[in-house]
Amino acid sequence: MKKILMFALILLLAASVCFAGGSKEKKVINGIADLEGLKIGVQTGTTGEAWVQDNVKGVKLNSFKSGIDAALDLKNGAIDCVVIDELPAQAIVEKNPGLAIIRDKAFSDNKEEYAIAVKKGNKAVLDVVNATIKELQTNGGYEKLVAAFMPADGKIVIPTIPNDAKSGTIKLGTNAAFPPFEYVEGKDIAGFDISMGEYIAAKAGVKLDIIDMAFDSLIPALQAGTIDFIAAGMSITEERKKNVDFSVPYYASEQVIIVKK
Amino acid sequence: MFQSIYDTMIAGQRYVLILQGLGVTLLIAICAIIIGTILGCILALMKISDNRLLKGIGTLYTTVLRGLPLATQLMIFYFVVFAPLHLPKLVVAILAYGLNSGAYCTEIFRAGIQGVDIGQTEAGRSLGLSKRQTLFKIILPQAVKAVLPTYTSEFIVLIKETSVASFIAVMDMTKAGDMIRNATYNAWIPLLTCAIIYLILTLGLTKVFDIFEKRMARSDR
Repeated sequence: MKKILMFALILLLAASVCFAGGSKEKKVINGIADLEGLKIGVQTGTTGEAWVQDNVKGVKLNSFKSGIDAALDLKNGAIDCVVIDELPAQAIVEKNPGLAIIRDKAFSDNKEEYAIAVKKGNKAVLDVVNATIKELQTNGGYEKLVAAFMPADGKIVIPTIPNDAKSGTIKLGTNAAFPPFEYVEGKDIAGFDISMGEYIAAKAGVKLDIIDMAFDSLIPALQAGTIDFIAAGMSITEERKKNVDFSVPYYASEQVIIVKK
Repeated sequence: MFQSIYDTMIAGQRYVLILQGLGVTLLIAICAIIIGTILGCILALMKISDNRLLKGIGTLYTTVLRGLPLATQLMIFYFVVFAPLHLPKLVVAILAYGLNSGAYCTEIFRAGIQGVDIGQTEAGRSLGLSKRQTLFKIILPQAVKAVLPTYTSEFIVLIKETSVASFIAVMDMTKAGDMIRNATYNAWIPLLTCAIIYLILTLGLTKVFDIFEKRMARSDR
């Protein structure tokens, strides 16, 4: 019995090695034109996912809960590339030396704008958000945030934002797998968007409550009223505008392709 | 190896996330099994009653709640049913798991009660006990013994099912593992840690219920 089991195990191992080794065929990707028919990883509910679905012929789409999971799968060799926003891609590549970024002019010509989303018609929150963003853009606070979270030397210093609110909370919905906009630092959630949320809470005179959930759950949660606003590097799209109200944009980004070196 | 475990779990106090997650997982599972057990008792009695309406309600409840995948149910409860009440998400999770577990407990208890030989009821009734007395003094004590093994497995299933709580942004242990994976780009250390803890939980639980079973079996001899 034992022998049979051992034999089966060895057979299984050999088979898996063969399959893993056999199906490896290095695909050269230099831009959008090479994506056709490939296995592409994206994050569920993102503009990257929508773009791949609409523009790449014969694609085998792999939607992950986070872009980082997609990158891990790319490292494991299960997919050919990942389409994701520029800055998270940079953060991923920085920590994973085996990966590289490919840019495409078609992407840079169609920049996307991140904005904060609130429930349709929730003017009270939208006004505070817009006022905060405009204030940050005029008083230099915005540049400070950029310098803090996108430093040239790669050393992020998370700023502390004073908030002396005693009561009341405002709920920020995010997906903390999108560095440097939102990510897990130690046991806390931090990032560019989170700091901006802190400013918004301070302006509203309440405490900030951060709720981490799947990216594609954010808009339903906003509509259900379980969160007050979304700060999750969310790009403004026509489709989303039908369901939420967007603040003024606060960051321009583009999609890039991550490949294995 | 130890270095990478240290970097992944200990550095930046990331293990705290796992501990917090474990607390949430246990809280959900324990509260849900309590709700489920109470609901199960009531509904099981409803299902075996002679009243058509009560029977119908019981059947409808178990059909719907056992017929839907738990993740779907959880999201329906969070985004639709309880959304207007603005309950904390942990409370919604506990309620959703409790209501779901209630349906399974109902069936477990019903099967247990109906599994007791009909001769026991006949004997009780012919000794002059009322229907109610027969149920509570003769049938239920025997049924409890019979349902314990399946009840244990329901509890175990419940603990494991809590891993989908992150669908509604509850930070359970699996979600904690996710967060560590996303922060460290290391998949297997946080996942394996969670797996081992789940295994310890379910193994421990099995042992505890084993002891109960053995104690109850004493009267058989």
